[in-house]
Amino acid sequence: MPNKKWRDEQLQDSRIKIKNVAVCMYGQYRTGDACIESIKQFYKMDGINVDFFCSLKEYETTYTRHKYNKEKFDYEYAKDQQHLPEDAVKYQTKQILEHYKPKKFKLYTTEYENELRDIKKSILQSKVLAGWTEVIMLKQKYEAEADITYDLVVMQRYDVLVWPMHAFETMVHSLMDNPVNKRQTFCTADKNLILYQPIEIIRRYNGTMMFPNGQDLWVMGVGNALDVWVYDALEHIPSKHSSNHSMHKIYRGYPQIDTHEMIAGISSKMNIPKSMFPYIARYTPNVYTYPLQTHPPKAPLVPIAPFPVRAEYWPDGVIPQLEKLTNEELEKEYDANIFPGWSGGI
Amino acid sequence: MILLSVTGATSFNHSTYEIFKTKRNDTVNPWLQYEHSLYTNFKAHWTNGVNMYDKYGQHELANNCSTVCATTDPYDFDYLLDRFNKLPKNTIIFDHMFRVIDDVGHYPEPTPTPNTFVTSYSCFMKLVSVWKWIDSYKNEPQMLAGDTSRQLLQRTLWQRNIQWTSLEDFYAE
Repeated sequence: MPNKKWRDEQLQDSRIKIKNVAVCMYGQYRTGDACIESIKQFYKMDGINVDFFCSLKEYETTYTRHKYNKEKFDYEYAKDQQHLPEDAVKYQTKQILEHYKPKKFKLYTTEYENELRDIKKSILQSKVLAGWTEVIMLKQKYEAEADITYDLVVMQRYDVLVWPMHAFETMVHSLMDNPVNKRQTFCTADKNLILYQPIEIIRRYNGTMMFPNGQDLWVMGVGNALDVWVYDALEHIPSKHSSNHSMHKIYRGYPQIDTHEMIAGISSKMNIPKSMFPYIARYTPNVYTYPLQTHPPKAPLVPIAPFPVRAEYWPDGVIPQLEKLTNEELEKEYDANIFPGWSGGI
Repeated sequence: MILLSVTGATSFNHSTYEIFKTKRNDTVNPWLQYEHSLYTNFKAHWTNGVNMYDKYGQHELANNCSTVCATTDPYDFDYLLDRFNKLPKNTIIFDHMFRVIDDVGHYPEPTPTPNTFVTSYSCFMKLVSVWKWIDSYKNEPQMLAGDTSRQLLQRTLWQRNIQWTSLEDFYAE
């Protein structure tokens, strides 16, 4: 028989509140111009303050596009950085400052990155760790200066969009006032949690169901979750002064095999509660089910689908004006051009 | 590299190591059960840690290659640093622990006293950022009303996979 104190604690309700959102943009700009208007529209939401923080790398790579790399460079796994001309970096910086009006912006220079020991080897995921750490620490610098804390932090690439276009608004609604210590919610009993998609949604039937994995294209941290995540990530970035990497680790990956494993691995190591995003309705905002909930039979819901935007996905090599497409039209583009190109290594 | 994070003593003027100093603001502490140590004090330490990153970045702070000495008041860190250098980098070494003896002579596990300690930059931030976790419950004060600073400190150390010890354990050898 539980005592009174225990019963009282069980009855206490804990609900997430979202007022301030930080969108942390990182990495390479790539097709950023084609995504700017869509990303701006995506994060517009009444009653919610959304601030952007931007870190920019001044080179381009095509790491995982095996078919594209084979055709263009005659090898599948392209690790080389293609450094951008000074004018291109200036232009990208101008676009970011003008459109996103970030509270903080910082250029993550190639020279700086290359000074990190072992960063040129197969430590692909270390570059993601480094990029995430840089922009989340930029956010924290602003938090310290302005005496503000963000209730929700979103990791967003310059060249990635999320379908459906009401996914952010729906996610905020699903989190707002959500009782985290009740059944059939995120079930964490903690307001500070991480949300990401499992990669099975993209890479089907590859045996990753029980493998620690997270899709890095769109990740949300509620409260201080992503702050803690980057503090641990710092232990895995090879420092200029020392490296934990043995020769085996340099060539085989450290401490995780790839970025997806890294996201879930660090979350687990730090005991940060984690969940996949709720399924949401295709065309109607703010309709969703939490993990473990049964979908309404007459309104099948779908997983949120973040995707990279590359001109090569379209037969004519021209990206359509994505911000002018409806959710239905964007879904058709996804099925006809984006997903086949993406999963085909283009 | 060794950096010093100071939150209380404004007269902490000289040191062998670079000082990052933020005065804690105890006048706005809505969490009295945390005894100013885990909220206002750690918030000031966290601000120092953010400023350390702003100045030195990943090159100096990644991979456990920088050490942070944290204190509220003037303290000679030589002995604590000497002991820290003999420990794994994911360890926090505190100056002393809090020990109680209950009514029946039982010695519960001692808990760290977070006024003075030495650790890596990464573990330093993992610990002091607990102020933000406390702050996330500002709209639900009832959730933490029955909590104590010692319980929260210990839970945070467990949760973040941090090892800990104190100088007293070395004295006992």
